[in-house]
Amino acid sequence: MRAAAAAIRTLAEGPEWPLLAVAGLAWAVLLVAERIPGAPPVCATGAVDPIVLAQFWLSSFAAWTGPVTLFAALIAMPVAMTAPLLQAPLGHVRQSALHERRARAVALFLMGHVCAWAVSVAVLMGLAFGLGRLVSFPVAATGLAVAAGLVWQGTPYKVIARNLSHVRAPLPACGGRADTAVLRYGAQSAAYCCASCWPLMLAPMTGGPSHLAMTATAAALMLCDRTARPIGAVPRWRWIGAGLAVGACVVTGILVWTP
Amino acid sequence: MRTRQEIRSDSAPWSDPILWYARGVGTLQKRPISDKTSWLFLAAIHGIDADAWTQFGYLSNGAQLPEDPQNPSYWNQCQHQSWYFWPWHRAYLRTFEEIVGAAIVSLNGPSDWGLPYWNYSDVKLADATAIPKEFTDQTMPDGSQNPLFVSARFGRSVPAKDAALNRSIILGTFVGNDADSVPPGVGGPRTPFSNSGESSGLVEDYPHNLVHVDVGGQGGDVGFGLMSNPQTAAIDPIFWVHHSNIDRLWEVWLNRDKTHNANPTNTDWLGGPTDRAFRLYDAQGNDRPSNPQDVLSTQTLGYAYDDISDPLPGQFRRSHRLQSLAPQVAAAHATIMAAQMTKRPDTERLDSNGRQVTVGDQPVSLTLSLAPAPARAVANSFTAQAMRPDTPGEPDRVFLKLENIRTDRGSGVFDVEVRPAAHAPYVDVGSVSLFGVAAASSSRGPHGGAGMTKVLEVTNAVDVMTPTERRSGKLDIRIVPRDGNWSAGNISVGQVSLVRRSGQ
Repeated sequence: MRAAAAAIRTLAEGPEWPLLAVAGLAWAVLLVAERIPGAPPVCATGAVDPIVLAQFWLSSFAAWTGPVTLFAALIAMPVAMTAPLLQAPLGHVRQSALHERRARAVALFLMGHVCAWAVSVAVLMGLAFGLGRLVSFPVAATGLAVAAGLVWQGTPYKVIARNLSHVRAPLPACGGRADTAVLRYGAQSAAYCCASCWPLMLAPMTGGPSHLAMTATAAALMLCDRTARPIGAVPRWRWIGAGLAVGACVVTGILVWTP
Repeated sequence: MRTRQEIRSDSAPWSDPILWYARGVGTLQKRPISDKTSWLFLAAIHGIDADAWTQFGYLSNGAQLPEDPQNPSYWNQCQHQSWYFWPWHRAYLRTFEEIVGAAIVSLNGPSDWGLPYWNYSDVKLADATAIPKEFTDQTMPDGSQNPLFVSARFGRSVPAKDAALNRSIILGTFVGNDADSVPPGVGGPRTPFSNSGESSGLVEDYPHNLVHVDVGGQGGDVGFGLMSNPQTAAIDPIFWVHHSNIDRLWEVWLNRDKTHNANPTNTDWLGGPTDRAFRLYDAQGNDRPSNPQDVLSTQTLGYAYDDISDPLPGQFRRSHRLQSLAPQVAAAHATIMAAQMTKRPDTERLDSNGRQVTVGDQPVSLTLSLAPAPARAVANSFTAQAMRPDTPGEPDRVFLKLENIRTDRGSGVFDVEVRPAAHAPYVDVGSVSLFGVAAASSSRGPHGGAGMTKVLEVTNAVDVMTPTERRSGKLDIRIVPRDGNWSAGNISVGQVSLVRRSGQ
């Protein structure tokens, strides 16, 4: 957590402070959306039947509650969690574009990034719902998601995905190729970021206890993951993840079966 | 106190320091790899690729290793493309020198033996760039086998321009910028633990990386020599005298301008990386602190170089440039009209080619245009005031970036040439060594296959352009692979771009 705090401090003091401001705004939207009476929890949408979710969004679309919760679930949540991670890629985008095109390049990057994240969140929502159907208790679904996350953290594939999310794509300075390249770079970095940290997003979505606190914890862990070892990790198996996963399953079992 | 001397400080070959070095190396080479003081264990600390070691014949198939190279404790530690490049290699050399020194004492040699260095940049020395005879002789003076000779070393000498120091130590900043900005520093970019990375410091590029590939050369079953690859380089005994010289250059750089040239004072540099700690040890194999703060003073470490004098007295990048611009001062405008000036960022793109370039064994040419707005900023920076040495600042500097250089095998060197207009001759702006590029290109590697990014200063080419050419000119760029030193097959350069940096 010290690493996350240090990363936030560096962000706040540097030219990328707007990223923190955007993340703060997204958190505000999440908090507001979570408190809408009768609305499904926006960070734990996986715990709700997708049909019920869709019905709510459609039925309340005319009112402000529908769009706000839809926006909060698909856009605000990933923005709140990932905006502070964009310091390096946004720096690369700005430095690669001609000065006059920097704002346009940043906008296109963010468009690609947010779209890819929205799709990823939709997929994770489905996965969280499926997990919830698989076991009877929300806490068990959360426990399984945490266990899967711990196993994933110990695999070389997680490290490969994270290393790939750090790769700076060559971005042309101007022209149509610059636009498509930066759009693709935004989507690509979001996809690798999601591939690296999907269990951290999945766990709060299963709708276990304190899902908002879990979302905040997951965001802090993602920031640590990004900044504590920003580059240079060698992909390999780490069995400690599997060991902790067994522990998580045991704790989940105790929580489920204790009257 | 140990004194490190140039290999050829005595006029005759096989002077005492190098003779004892060979005997000490011979002793270490007899020890099994499981011994922390053995030749191969020490080489693996720098880097080991078990497949490559097997191909070169240093490991048998299925050999039992004391460490897993993929999950190392001591191995694969070498710091490259990093601000830890100089201090980590100093700590590494210290361990090596003490272990060889202990072996020499056990052979009844001198107790104050110091690791020699090979100063290929010494223009006063005849044949300074030729690989010293002590490393090419197959036998020692007494007729016994020479431990310093390896068959997988195919280079014969270092081209003089690769050994030149005028692209590295004349800069006065230790820490460079990352791959997105310019210019690189002398010591390297700020990184965490960095076994390989994207952009090197200037001394790492010139002469370190170039000498590695020049000495390793091209040939044999593997296609290149031991020195050409970071994962095999330290097996070659010449590695250590090369790095002794690189370590000496750190002292030379600090000594040549004590006012401006200084080490970083950041605690994250002094204290070393936190993501993986440096692990090095003494002659008995006991671990000891080996972070930058522990190796700042050679005196404290018990050694000194016989020569740390300035090889380029009076040459400093800015003054050198302004001297060459002096003829233009009279013709330059005194001031720029305020209306012509628009606020520009300190660093910005001038142009990029926007597509991948493939380089084989033939030269490749391309042209970059200077985008109008930033090109105007460059042209407007050439004021009479900015070109005078007695006023602060200087006209804008311009850099060529070769991004995401990748290859899947081999090594080599290519030269980069630029000409400011179609009628002008090409001007050499630097050379790029592919030392470590194959490892940096692996998608399963620590950098996701990003490859390397090289930044070359092309300010000289812009300085000789006319004001009109600077406003709307083009730069022709030619990438020329070196003959006789190219085992990389095809390499790809993700993009070639031009960057301006404000000189104010």
